[in-house]
Parts: sequence; structure tokens; C-alpha cells
Amino acid sequence: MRRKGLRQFEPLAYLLPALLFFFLFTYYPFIKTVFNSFFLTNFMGVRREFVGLENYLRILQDKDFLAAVKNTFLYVLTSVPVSVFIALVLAMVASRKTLCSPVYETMYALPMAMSSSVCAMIFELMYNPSLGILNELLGTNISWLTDSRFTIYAISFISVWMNIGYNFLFLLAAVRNVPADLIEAATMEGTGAVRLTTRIILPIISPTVFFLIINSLAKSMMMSGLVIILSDGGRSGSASTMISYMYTQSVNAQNYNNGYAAAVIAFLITFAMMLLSFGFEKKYVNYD
Amino acid sequence: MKKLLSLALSAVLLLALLAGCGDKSGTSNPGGDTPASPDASDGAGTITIEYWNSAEGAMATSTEYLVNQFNETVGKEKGIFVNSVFQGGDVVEKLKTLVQANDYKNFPDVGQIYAAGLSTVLQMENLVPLDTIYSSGEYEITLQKEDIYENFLRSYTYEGQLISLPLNASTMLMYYNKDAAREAGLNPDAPPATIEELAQWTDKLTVRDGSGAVTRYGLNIQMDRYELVNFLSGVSDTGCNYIGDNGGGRDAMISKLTIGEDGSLMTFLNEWEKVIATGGYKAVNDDERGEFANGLSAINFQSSAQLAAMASNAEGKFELGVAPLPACSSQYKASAAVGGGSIALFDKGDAARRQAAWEFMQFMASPDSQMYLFENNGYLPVCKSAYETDAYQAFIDENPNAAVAVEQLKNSDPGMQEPMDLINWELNTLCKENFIAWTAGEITKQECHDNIVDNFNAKLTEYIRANG
Repeated sequence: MRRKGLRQFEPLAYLLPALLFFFLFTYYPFIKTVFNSFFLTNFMGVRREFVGLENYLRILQDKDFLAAVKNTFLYVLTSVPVSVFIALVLAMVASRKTLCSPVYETMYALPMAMSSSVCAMIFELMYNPSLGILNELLGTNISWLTDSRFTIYAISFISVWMNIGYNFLFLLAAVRNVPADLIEAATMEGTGAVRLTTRIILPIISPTVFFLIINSLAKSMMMSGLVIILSDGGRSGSASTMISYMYTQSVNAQNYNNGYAAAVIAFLITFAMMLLSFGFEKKYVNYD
Repeated sequence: MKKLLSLALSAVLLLALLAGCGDKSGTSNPGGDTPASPDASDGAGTITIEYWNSAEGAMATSTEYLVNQFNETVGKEKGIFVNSVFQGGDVVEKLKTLVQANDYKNFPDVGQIYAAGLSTVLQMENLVPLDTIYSSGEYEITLQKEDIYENFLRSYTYEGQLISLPLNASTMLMYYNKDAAREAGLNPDAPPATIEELAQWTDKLTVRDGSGAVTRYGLNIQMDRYELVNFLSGVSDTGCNYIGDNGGGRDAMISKLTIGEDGSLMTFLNEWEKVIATGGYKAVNDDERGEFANGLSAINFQSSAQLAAMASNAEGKFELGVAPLPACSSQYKASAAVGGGSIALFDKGDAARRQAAWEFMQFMASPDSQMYLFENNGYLPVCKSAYETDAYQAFIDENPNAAVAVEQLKNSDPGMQEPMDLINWELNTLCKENFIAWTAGEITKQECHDNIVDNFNAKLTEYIRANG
């Protein structure tokens, strides 16, 4: 009986080290941020007085923050599906093992190993309107990073490029795990490639696709690095995301009040998106 | 039994982790003197001090050179070793983090501070203001306060107190393509002296292709806070435009911009409208210096600290011209807001360390070190005696372009610096976005004016409520 009692707690003991770090670096700062968001805070982060929902009401009327929310959604909608879709196409193309497989598998997966700041610098040069290669190739004269009509898409493009490698690796493994006899049987019965993909392969790899979408969704909702590095030169408001707004308000404008409120709102919106996705999981993801 | 063992092992691991997390947040009493900590001096009695800087590019090379020079000369003689640490673009941001963690133990002895960070640094209890150093009698003085240029002294003075020692001073200059000027029939040796003349130059220097698209802009300048403040600096009856109230935030905390109510911003915008009307003005910084060097624009404004880089970029391509900033109109004096960086002393609770740090600071601001920065980086010497050396005269004779910045410094009112506007990032964003929008025809001149003044004042009120 005693042995069983101890054994019950054994899994908890394994979780403890991870939980400790989660608490220190995630839960504690999170609770503190929520708590502080109801206070007026000075530039050193010291609480001055309780102001209730004032910080929230202020940023919800701030057109820069509203633009940041809109930009975040635009960014998620343009980058997440595209990067999963392209990776899926590449995985399908590369799924048959041949002698050259390791070569192009490595080539497709390589963007994963690039740091986002390095990518940002390289793309910044390519996007430069007068000296960059992009306008030269397209024969256009577009200020990709400073014209508010293009900035968010230009940044989405980089992020798609960067995420393809990671998505590709997962999808390649998933596609290769689809039982060969199933595909063979379907092909022998005359099933076309499109039908084969949508009716047989996709349902089988749906858990992987779901994981990738959830994963990129959370990452994209929290995206800030590319924006902070790339849109510094032009009109920063035109490309800012919720988290880059939080960063620039807290660090550059020394306004933790707006920063805390933006962080909490960003969390709530992301959390709602996750719940929504899990709703889809029940309906469309097949674990059999 | 196996399970019990693994349980015990995980408990041990956990404890080890906990031990790793602890004992890092030691704090010290910044006020009281304690004996020198063992890591500060080795067996031979050498005191090691730490210098946190934000020097990048050519300035990083110069900083390394000067620190090594100090360690090998004065340092060796007096038993001081300086450990120079690059801390990214903003040292004050790092110091702020230490204060928030109540961790004074990890402060550097000397930190490189820009004017924007002064009000933050002033609130740090371990800061040793320069005035204290000069008046306490505790320190050996080789660099007299009177030897430092008034313009730079005022840059680092807040509420009457001199906070830090000027180190790398600069001013904004006009850079132009002399060959392009000749081709356009302009006299390359008589650069524009007013904004109206700048507009005429911009018009003549602009090149369009058959379809009317601009292939070379006459002028490329993104109007950020720094640029606007410099252009506005002379727009005042007194020749000194403080931009904000309370002497631009130096006599007391700034509470509003004054450029709206005194009309100086509108006076400037009325002139700048002529530049925009040429259609040859590019208001966005895609890569101003790169485009200028490649002949895609003919006039550009940069800090004097860019002089060496601008000259080497233009080498072999065209003849580079350097001129002082044009005045707003013939009614006003040409002027500029001098700016740059300084070094501040922090108390680590040990008198010997403070003195060692001060020794190093004086070395950095000495005429020899300042001449080194002038020759290699285009930073203006902060001490007057540097301008009387033979080295200065010889360098100016060989590089007449370098003399332009010095002339501009001498012609500018000593009271004219960048304002201590606390939330300068907000002003920067407002200036940049509204000038771009105005140039693109999306908003009117009046809207540009009101957006900058009203929105900044609203942000400032918000800041003062949280911090005042």
C-alpha cells in the first residue's frame, strides 16, 4: 500500500524540474504582468497607483495598437497556411526515397538552421528599393519595407521562407509513414493524385498538420523580431504586431503601462485562437 | 527498490538545479566604503575596473585602441587595468535592469551614456556626478572643467548638475556630390546657405528619365527627431531654440514642446514646403548613405562622425563636399545642436576604484585621445586645449572637410543641444511618420505640424503622470 502511494507521486517528481523552470520563467512573469497591468507603473517598472482597467481602455483606443492587432492577424493568415502548404508540396515531391534524397532533403530543410536576425539582414538588402535585387528582377520600384501597403506581406514572405524547412521535416516523416500498401491499392483502383492526397494521405497525416498549424499559429501570433529589425527605417506603425508594439512601448517609449496591457491582450487573443483550433481538431483530425 | 532509487536521484538532481539558481543576486551597499573586492585587484596591487560601452564599427576599433593605450601607459604606471565590455547600443538600458534587480554589485565603474539617458542615470544612487568629483578634493584633476567646451558641458548637465564627462561629440553636417553640382551648373564651392537655396539645389540636382521617373534624387533625408531638432536649432530670435520648455528639459523635467506655440516649427515647415515642391526630395531612409555613395541622391545629411566613412565611400566615384547646415531662412542664424556620448562614473563602494576609474575617464577625454577620435572617427574634441595642438592644425590643413564641423560648433549657441525629451523614441516616430506622409501628399502641412506637437505633448503628459 505504501509502495503504491509513493509510486503515485513518481510522475510528479519527474515533472518537477521542468515545472520549476516554467514557474520561474513563464508563470511567475505572467502573473506579475497581469497584476501590474492594473497599475500605473513608472519607467523603472515600479507600481505607483491602482488604476483598474485604465491601461486596457487606453490602448484599445490607440490606433497604433489596433493596427498592430490587425497586422498580427494579417501576418498569421498570410504566413501560417502558406508555409504549411508549400512544405506539404515539397514533402510529397520528396517522399519517394532515391539516391539523391539526402541532398534535396537537406536543401529543403536548410532555412530552419538560419537565425531570424541573419535572415532579416539578408532580406533587408534584397528588399532595398534602389539597390536591392528584388526590384531589379521584377522591374518594379516598390519600397517593400517602408510602403505600408507592402510591409506586412514582405515580412510574411520571409517568415514563410524560414518556416518551410521545419514544417518540411515533420511532413516528410509523416508522408513517408503512410502505409505503402494503402497507396498502392488506391492507385491500382485508378485514384488520381489529387484524390489520393485529399482523401487518403491528408487524413492520415492530419495530426502532424494540426501540430504544425498550432505551433506556427502560436509563434506567428507572438512574432516581433523581424518587424523590430526590418521596419525601423520607415513607418514603424504600418507593420507593427501586438508583441512588437508591446516591446517598443515598454523599451523604447519607456511606457510599461501600455506594454503590460498589450501583453495581456495578446495572450488572450492567442489563447482564444488556440481554443478555436482545438475545436477544429475534434472535427477534422484523425488519430486512428 | 529501483523506483525508489530513481526517485532519490531525481530529488538530488532537483536540488542541484536549485543550488545553481541561487546565490547570484548579491547586492552591495552603494554608499558605504568596503575594502577592495578580491577580483578588483590582483596580487601586485593592480586595480581592475570595468568600462561598459556602446561603441560599434570604427568607434569600437578606436575604443579598443584607446583602452589598450591606457592599460599600457598610465594604467601600467599607476596599477590600473581597464576591462572594456561592449554592451550593445544602449548601456543605460542594461544599467536600468541592474537597478530593477537591486543589483549594484554588477555595475561597471564607468559607463558610456548618451544625453537621452541622463535623467535615468541621475536617479541611480551609485552615480558619482562630475561636479562631485571636481569639488570633493578626493580626486587628482588633470583635465580642468574649464577646458571642456561649454556646448558639450551643457549637453550633460541636468538641473544644474554636471552628470558625466563628454567623450565623443558630433554635429550634423551637409554632405553633397560636387561633381553633380558642377554638371547641374551650380557652384560646388558655394553650397546652399538657407532652406530656400537647398530647395533650388534639390531641384537642379534631380535627374529624371524619359518617363519622368526620378533616377537621382536631389536630396535624400529622413526627417527623424535628430534631423528636425538640428534644422530648428537656429529658428529663434535669440539664436537658440530649446525645442521644449524648461530649457529643453535641462533646468527641470520637460513638460511640453515649445516649437508649436512659438511658431518655430511652422516657420520651418513653410520653408521645407519648397523642398518638397521640387519633387526631387526623397523622405525615406532606405539606405541613405549607400544611395548617396552610388549616385542615387546628390545631397545627404549625416553626423560629423560619419565623415571618414562618407569620404571613403565616395572615393574614386565623385568629389565629396561638406558644408554646415543651412539656416532656416536668411532671417535666422545657421546653427546646430551638438550631441554625442559621454562617460559616467559609478561608485562600487571603494575609493581606490573610484579614483582609478576617474583616471581612466580623464585619459579618454584628454587632448591626445580626443585628437585620436577626431582624426579616426570625426568626433569633435571636447576639450579646448586639443584645438591648440600642432596635431590639430596639421590634420585640419590636410583635411579641410573636417574643419567644417569645428566651424559649425563655434558658430552654434552654447545653449543649443538636443532636448532632454525623455520619450525621444516617440518624438522620433512622430517626426519620421508625419514628414513621410506630408511629403507623399497624404496629410497637409498643418496636420503634420499638429500631429507632431499635439501627439507628443499628449504622450509626454502620460509619461509625466506615471513618472513625475
